[in-house]
Amino acid sequence: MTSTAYGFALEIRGLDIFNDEVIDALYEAGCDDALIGQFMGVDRLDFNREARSCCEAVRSAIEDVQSVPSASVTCVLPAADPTVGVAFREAVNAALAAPVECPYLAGTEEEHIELRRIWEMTARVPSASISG
Amino acid sequence: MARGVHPKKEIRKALQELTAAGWTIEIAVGGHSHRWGTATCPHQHPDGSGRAFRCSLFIYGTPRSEGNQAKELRQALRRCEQRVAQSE
Repeated sequence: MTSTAYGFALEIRGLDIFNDEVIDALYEAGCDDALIGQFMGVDRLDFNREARSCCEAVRSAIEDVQSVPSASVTCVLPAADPTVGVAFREAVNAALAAPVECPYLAGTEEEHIELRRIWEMTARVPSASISG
Repeated sequence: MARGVHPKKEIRKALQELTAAGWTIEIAVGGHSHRWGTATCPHQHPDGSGRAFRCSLFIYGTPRSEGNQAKELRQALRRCEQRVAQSE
């Protein structure tokens, strides 16, 4: 089965990306398909992620980042040539704000499943590490 | 491979474009990290509230895809230059 590379960026908080140990932790967590950088004072990872679908690409990238202790993903940004649908991206951004209920999305079953997984991951992040 | 030269050809080419645009490339010492080096832009982008930021890019020595890492380096250069154009 062929897979496509999906381009998008994740804004992240909670890490000191100027520390090599943090760069290594992101790399080892599976983010070796992203460019780590800082733009306008905001830390970001620009991904080109191969996956069966764009929603799997976004969900697995968020999962990889959040597996690094104290890292949290605050926002999904479109790539210069966007491959992630606006509706799905906006629903994910709503989910990343850790609302009490999973945001509504008029999408496919797979999009619903991945959105719910993202919302469940975010809900597990203690608020202390977000504000820190 | 000489120190100061990225082992991947496509990334080398992208780094030449960054350098030509005035970016500085600092190469990691020791080679113990996945970070090969750091690229920093020559600008101080103002955010309109009195603060200003330089762009930083942390370049892997062995990214999963050298073509994609090179592509993202060029995108970051474009993003930086668009920001400069907007604030002029």
